[in-house]
Amino acid sequence: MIEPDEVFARANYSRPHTIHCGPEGIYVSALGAPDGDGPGGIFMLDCETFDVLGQWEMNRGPQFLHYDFWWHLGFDTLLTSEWGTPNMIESGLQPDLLLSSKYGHQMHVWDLRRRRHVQALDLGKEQQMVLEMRPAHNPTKAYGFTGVVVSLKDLSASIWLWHRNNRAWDLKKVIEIPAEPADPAKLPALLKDFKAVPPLATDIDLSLDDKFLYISCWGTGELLQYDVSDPFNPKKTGSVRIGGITNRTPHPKNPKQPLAGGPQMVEVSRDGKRVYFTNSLYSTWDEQFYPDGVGSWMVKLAANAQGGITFDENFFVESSDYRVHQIRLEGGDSSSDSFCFP
Amino acid sequence: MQAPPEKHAFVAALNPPGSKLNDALLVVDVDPESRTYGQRVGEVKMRSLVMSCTTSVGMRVVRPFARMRRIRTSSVATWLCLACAHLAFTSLIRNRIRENPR
Repeated sequence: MIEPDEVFARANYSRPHTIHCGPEGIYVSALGAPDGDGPGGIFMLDCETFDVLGQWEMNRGPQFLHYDFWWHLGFDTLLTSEWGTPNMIESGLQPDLLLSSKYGHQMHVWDLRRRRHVQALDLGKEQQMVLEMRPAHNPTKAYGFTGVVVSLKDLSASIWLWHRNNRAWDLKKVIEIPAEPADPAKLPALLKDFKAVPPLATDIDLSLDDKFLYISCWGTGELLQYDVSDPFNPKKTGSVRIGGITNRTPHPKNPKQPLAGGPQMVEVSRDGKRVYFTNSLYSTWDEQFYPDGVGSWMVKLAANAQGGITFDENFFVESSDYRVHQIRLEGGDSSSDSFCFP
Repeated sequence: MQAPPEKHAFVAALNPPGSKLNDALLVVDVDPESRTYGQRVGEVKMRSLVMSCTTSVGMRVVRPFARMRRIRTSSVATWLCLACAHLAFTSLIRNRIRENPR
């Protein structure tokens, strides 16, 4: 175990989040500094000894907020996203910060080898919380997808494509998922005035062949599948409903049991045939959006090669003693594997 | 992509700040041919934390921790890294998963 003091002392970071194995070592993102403020960033571990080596950034430019990261190994490019500092998120979503656009709304492009900030891409201040980074796995392809949790304009969630354009990086919104009208009596305090359930796209995952993109809508309780073979023009190919702030859709195995929480951390098998997801986000946020209890469950879908997803009716794992979160698959999976060769 | 189907899933299992319960890494049987399919078959408890603050939000499999410039094809270990993103007890936990995690 690596103790927090070692991370504090050697990297001046805390709250580690994403881990990827990459050039020269193990990369770990961190949401902030030991005092809970920013900046967040990436620190490196020695890949043999697991010693904390220090901050990865040589020059962070304007970057301050941090969340997820990944890369295009064929383009020596690293990409990072923005959530909030630990102080902004640990006690729950703070409405005043949200309404004043203080959560992250940018992604950053970095030179992976020189460890320097190259470009900030702004999605617009109304786009709050830019979370998961899912670059094409094919190292010859220079595009990827990131998700925005919520838009202040209309509570929609959205998926953005980053891509190369005129020797620089550019962004395009390629999917927008609208909020769903709802009876205020069924909504938690935070949402009553809006009379709608935001989709809250909290996780996305891209299949290893870069063909299908999965989107967790933790608020509405829906998991969406899009064919992104043409990344500029995604086509919706599948959807399942489970949980949700107002719907509380049951699982087919227990059709009479209403479920809280919604699709959250999603994992796709290497062959693209199976999709797993869990229902818990982050304890203080769980309590805000599911104040009567979020529960804890994990489910599995079968994915058709031509598109389409269905529940495995025999797979429903409930836990009473833990909240289940990230899933990793034996051997590897779509959110951990990086390809060095086409 | 061609790959053998996974037989186990590793799941970060957490408890909120203030809870007296530990965090853990759960092993779930995802092999439809197994009689324990869809059940928890293993659990690695993370140390119990005195200050009760272990909400973690990320886990990544690091496998087989190769340097890109010097790929170690002989490495057989699978490492699971669990990054716990909370307060002073931010810690990084690693467990070596053997062939049969049960």
